[in-house]
Amino acid sequence: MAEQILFYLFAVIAIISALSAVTRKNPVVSAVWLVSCMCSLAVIYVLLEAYFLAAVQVIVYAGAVLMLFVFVIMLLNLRTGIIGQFRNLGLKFMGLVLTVIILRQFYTAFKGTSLILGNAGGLEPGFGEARAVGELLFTRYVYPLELISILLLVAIVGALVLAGKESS
Amino acid sequence: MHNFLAILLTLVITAITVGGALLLSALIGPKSKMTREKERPFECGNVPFEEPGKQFPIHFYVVAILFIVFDIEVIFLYPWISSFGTVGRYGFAGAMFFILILTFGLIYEWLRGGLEWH
Amino acid sequence: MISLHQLLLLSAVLFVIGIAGFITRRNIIIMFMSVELMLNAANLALISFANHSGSMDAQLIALFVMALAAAEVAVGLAIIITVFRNKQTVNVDELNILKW
Repeated sequence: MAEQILFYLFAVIAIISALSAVTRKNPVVSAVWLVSCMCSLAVIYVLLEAYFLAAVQVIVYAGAVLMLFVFVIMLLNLRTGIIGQFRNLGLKFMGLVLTVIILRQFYTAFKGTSLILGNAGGLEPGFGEARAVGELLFTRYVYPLELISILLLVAIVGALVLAGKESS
Repeated sequence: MHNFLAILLTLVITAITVGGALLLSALIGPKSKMTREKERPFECGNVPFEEPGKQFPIHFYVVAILFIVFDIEVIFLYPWISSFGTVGRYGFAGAMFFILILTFGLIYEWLRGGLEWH
Repeated sequence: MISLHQLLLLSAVLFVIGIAGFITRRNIIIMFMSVELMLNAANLALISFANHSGSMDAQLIALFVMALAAAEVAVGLAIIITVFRNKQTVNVDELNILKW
């Protein structure tokens, strides 16, 4: 019961934060709303017994990714003068219509299927903790792990080549 | 899950403290109208020299990239430490290879001069 | 216990908010944030499936998605910085040099 209440509370917070994030004019405000959204998603991950991923969500998304966003906004010195008013009502209307259509498709898809995947609540002990993640990560998923390291290497090189040269 | 009750309690106490402070100061604090003088920027009694929030040098971005990449590396190494006893040599080799490839990135940045602070 | 339908509905709503932000906003940084929001919604769906199927594999995939998002942000923001340096704008409607 307590889980239900917490889930509803943080789901509502997440949706409100996400809506605010995509509608604010100032990108910095938007980023802070997104931090709120991601932290409430981390609470939901804890409710789903993904403890390690909840920590990673806070550390990587709220701590590193959004930090980088705010950093770049300050780096570019984006003020309202540069951002300006992007008014395009036709586009907004089209986007809204498309959104409603996609949401309706999702809803129909979920409603039509019977998603009963069995053990809700009967998870083995240690589920979702760092130890269990590590046991899978370094045995069955060791090849994707090396691919991730190559991806990160490419990210370092790409970001340095693109942004590393000294500007005048 | 019950270990996380402490974190939830911290969240609730923080929300109450901050919200209560803001609410109380709005309710019982003295109300003052904002005047033109109060809105002006203030810098030790002088007129400010330049606009705040000017552009940072691009150099900071390179350091931020390093931070984010090695943040991810730590995220992947922490489960390895937790399950060190069970994954054995196979896991050790995987983790070492992971670190080796990311070290190439560090060496590249070093040789390129990304770590120099001019 | 939280039912799978509620979780998937929350995930779908967040995903759709991300799509709406991506389509309606013209500020490239906010569009990029919307992409992050969509990735988060996908992660939420993966983690709900992990909980309801009782196997950890979906959580591992969510972990890889997070690493991928970080790498994507590093390169994407570098591209934004380069574009801004050359064009002095973050409005995607003004970045139309390849438009015929």
